[in-house]
Amino acid sequence: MEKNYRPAKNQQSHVLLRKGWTPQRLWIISIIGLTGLGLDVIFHTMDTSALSIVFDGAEWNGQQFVSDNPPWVLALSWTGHITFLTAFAMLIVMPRLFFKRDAATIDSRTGQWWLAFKPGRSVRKMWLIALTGAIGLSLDLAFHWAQDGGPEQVFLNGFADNTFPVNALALAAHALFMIAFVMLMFLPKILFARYTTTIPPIAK
Amino acid sequence: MRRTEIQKVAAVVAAAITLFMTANTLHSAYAHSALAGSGASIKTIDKYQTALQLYPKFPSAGQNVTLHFTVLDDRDNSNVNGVYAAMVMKEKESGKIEAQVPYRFYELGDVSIDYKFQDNEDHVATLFTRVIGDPKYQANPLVADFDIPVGQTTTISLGELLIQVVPFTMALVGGLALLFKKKNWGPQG
Repeated sequence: MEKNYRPAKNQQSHVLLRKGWTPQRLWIISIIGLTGLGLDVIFHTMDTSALSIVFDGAEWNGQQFVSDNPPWVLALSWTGHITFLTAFAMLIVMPRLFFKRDAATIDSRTGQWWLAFKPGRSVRKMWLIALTGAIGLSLDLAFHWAQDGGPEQVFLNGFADNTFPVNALALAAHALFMIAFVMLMFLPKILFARYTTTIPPIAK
Repeated sequence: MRRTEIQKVAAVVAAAITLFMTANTLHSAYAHSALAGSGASIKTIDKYQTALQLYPKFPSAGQNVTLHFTVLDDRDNSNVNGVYAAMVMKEKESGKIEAQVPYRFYELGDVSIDYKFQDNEDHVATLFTRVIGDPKYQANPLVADFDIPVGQTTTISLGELLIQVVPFTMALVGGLALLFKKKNWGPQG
């Protein structure tokens, strides 16, 4: 096999992790993301209600949702959050969703890990989830821009309107899950050194 | 070994959350901040914080609304004891004064005013606070302006929302599931 040979993205069956990464370390990003999401749920519960993690911008008064936003801004909010959370949920379980559990092999020369895709999974499908996440994030960005007057509110949401410790919680939550989300979205670029159809013999 | 690594990270994260939550609880208990997590609009002037909470949160014309102002000492987040407070309600665009509530004594920094808005327009509530014992703000009041949008609310019942949300979510999740089941999705290389 030539060094630079790269099969079509839907035919790749193995990936070589960059140095320093192990199959288990993939879960570290997931844990960071999950922690961020957990903190965000706590923040929204303390700020308004847990429902606002999806229906941000509207408030449940026991009978109906009430908001000072027009309907199109609310639509941006829930479509963005649902799309974003769906992609995020898939990215959090990515190691389990994409890779065979007992087929990881270590390259004896470099110490790098080879992972084998589950049948029907590919790098292209990883990018599909990343694309879904990017669409969700763009909708969320547009929502915050329309509601709060700036796209940076995706990150700073809840910081200016609250005092310590709720504002610190909001910032920590958003920072953690945004970092994890962006890392998971670009996982193929960040983590994978090489894609092939088979593992080179020396690694086995 | 690697399993231990994950367990370590999980333990650190769990410990961090527990610590944060403990600090949070302790802080709330001792600092007595009425504003933390209240969703109130907050204005900070010098060493004072003035906050406004509305009940209901999204008022409309003709509705009885309670404007609840809180004046806190920013240094220790405690309510300011002994204030005289007055309020002026104006229409934001025209600047027309809609109502004036004269000065009254409030033992603690909690000022509740019942109000009925006349029009569905943006309003500005201005709270004037004279702090007893503060040489600066006893002679000249603390002035805090709060924007109040009135009558520009959207209401959606749970049923209406579910009619939109459920098909959207099903289409999104179903679409992704279908693409994942498709073995050779995408152009062949």
